[in-house]
Amino acid sequence: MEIKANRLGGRETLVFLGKYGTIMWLLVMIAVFSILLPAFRSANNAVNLLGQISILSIMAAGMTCCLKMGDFDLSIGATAAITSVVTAKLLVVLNTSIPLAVLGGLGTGVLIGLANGLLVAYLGLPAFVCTLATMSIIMGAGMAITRGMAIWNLPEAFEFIGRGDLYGIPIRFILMICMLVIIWFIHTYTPTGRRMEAIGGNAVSSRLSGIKVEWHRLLGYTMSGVCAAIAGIVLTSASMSGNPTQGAMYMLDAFGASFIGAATVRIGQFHIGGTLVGVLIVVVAVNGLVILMVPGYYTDMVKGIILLVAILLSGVTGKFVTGK
Amino acid sequence: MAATGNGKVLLEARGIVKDFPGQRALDKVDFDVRRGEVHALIGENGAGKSTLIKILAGAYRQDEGDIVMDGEKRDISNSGDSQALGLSFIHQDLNIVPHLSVAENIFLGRYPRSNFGLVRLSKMVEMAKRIPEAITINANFRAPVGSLPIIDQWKTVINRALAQNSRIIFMDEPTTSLTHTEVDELFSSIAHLKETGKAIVYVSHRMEEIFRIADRVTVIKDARNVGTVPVHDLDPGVLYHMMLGRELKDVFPSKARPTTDVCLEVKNLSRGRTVRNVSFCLHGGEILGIAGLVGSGRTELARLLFGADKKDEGDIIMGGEKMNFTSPADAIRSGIALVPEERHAQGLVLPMDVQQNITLATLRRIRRWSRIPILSNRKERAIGQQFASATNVKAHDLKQQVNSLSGGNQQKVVLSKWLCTNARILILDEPTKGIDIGARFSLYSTIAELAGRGVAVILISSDLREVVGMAHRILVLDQGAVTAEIPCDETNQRATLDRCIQACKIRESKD
Repeated sequence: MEIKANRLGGRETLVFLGKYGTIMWLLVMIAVFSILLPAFRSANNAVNLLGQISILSIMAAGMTCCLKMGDFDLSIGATAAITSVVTAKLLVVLNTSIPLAVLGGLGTGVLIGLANGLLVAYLGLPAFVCTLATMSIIMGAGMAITRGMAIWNLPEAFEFIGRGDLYGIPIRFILMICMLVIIWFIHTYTPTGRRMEAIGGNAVSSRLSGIKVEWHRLLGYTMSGVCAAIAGIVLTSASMSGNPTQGAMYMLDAFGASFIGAATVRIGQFHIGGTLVGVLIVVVAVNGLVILMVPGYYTDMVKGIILLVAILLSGVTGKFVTGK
Repeated sequence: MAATGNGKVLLEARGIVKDFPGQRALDKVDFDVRRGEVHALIGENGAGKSTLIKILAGAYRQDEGDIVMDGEKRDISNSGDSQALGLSFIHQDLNIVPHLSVAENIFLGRYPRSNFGLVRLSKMVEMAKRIPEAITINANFRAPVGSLPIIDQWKTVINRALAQNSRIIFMDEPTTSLTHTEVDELFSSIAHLKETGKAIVYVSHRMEEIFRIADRVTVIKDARNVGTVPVHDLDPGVLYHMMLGRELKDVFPSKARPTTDVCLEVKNLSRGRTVRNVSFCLHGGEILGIAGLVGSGRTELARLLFGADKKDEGDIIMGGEKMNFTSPADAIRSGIALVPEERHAQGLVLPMDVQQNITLATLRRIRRWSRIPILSNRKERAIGQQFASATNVKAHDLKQQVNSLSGGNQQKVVLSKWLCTNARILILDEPTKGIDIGARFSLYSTIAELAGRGVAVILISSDLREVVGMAHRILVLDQGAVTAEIPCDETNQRATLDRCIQACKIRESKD
């Protein structure tokens, strides 16, 4: 009997680690870096971290909307890039007002999201390959519009979104908090969010319970597109340039963050709180490595490893915890 | 039939007792098999028949009792012992290696070797053809067995048993994956086995088959042998009585009288070759049974009525209006509900909890404020509680994942989801498949209660006694078309049951 009790205890520890392991990993990482690296705990770096977290969180939150229903969106990085190009073109070439340019950027994101959603949900194309194709198309389009060159000389007032602050808090951080809260609220408290969760759990049962599955998947892609567009606009403002390549590298990070999220607390399920934990882990890990002056190519390897570990944890421990 | 009753006893199990933690699986069960007989073994899932077979196969060891063969007590402690005594077991999955040839499968694991220890296919094929009293397989013995029809795979496995000099062959639900013609072919193979003095123990749920081929039948119920009787001259009603331990009319709740208003009219409904020209009327408070084998178009008909598939032709009329459902959402809005056949794949969202599953089709009802789409935990809980108790769901917490509930309780959750929508037409597709007898009675009384309140019910089931016991009227489907309409005679359910069995038999002999 004693052995049995011990084994039970061991199992509970494993379950606890499975659920809260990622959060503990984050806390340990922050603690170690803070103690060892003076540069990490500096005020400058804190602002820098907030900035990086903001953009990645917004993109990852959008991607979580798709992943929640079992869909992929590989095109978010490209969407951010083309949003940057469109917004900058509107401002510089067409001389439109800032709100109009921002609306134009957001519209681009909506259109791309709708296109992805129509192709995947209504025409039934496989999400992975389909968004891989749209990613390539969008990237190419961005390059074609700018001939591969960045667009400079944006109006100075536009700087406010990416570099400005409100009582010392960066605007883009506030933007991020707003987006996360909105999406979290939708997922947790609205019928739409509940239906999305049901679709992720079992699309067939959901349809037979009267849920318009295609419509919700379309909505997920649209949310993903809008989030990518917002991130693209923030990036444009922060760099004060329209650039057909910026934002592309966030796609992989957003994946990593979302999968870490699925390995956090509610194992095997994608949710905004978990995604935020994932974003923090990715950003803090990379930031620490940069401060340690580890060459950049190693950070790519680390990101890949984080993604791999996260996928393993979300799947394997998920099965373990639910006892399947 | 000639051998019935006079055959020599080949195997006798006496007073077999088997205990599992917290439960007695077999309680002093006697069972004997005679030379040249087909002995049917029937009983509910979990009644104990598979435990008995596993003991004979050497997978379990009995706690008490003896197994006697040829007048001697035998000790079966593993599958080798069982094989050496001449017992063979054929399971539904057949235990074949699909890409190996027929001959190799017959000698699976016991290949005849040449002098150099090599396996020669040509020699094996020759030997396979020389198995004494083998069943003829009309196929190339060198062909991979997986490429042959299921019936030839069955014959391969039967010949394997013969090659092992088996005297008793156990068959577990052999006809589930066979077509009608294949069933006939299997039955003539079984007749051939009987003639050569082998004995067959035939496990099946299909009453028609038992009456067709069995010589004796043993009913296992609640871990006991409730009787071994000759099938000849046996009344089906008596057999049901043995299986259930009570009369049919006591199992099912009494039927309320349906109203006269038509709540659903179906005219010439068709979809491809699966549903053909189906027409019927459904009254408020009426329970309409739909019988017919798997593949007869029952599930497809249900899906059409529910808007899950598109109809090619025909009309669905409700309240004098032609309905045109493009999705289940439309049907649900018109007051139709479907409890689908596959609980896990189609009925439930397994990772969600009980109350989330119950409220899934009616999220509008659990809004905090009626006009604003925000959910209220309090209302969700209240509604969840109300409808979970309406169907008698046994869960210690409504926040429990449905995953962790028993099959019967999961089915009650699916039903609760539809009670919640106040559906006026409830379609149930195999509602009691794979659920225990207690949950079954509870479902029956819920269904009867709903009908009593005026809900029209369409009950699709392979279990004829369930259809007869519950329905006011029965439609028999075959190849997508209605072939018979049988009113249920409350005073003589046995007669109704006989008519249903007859209707099924007509269909079977048509092939």
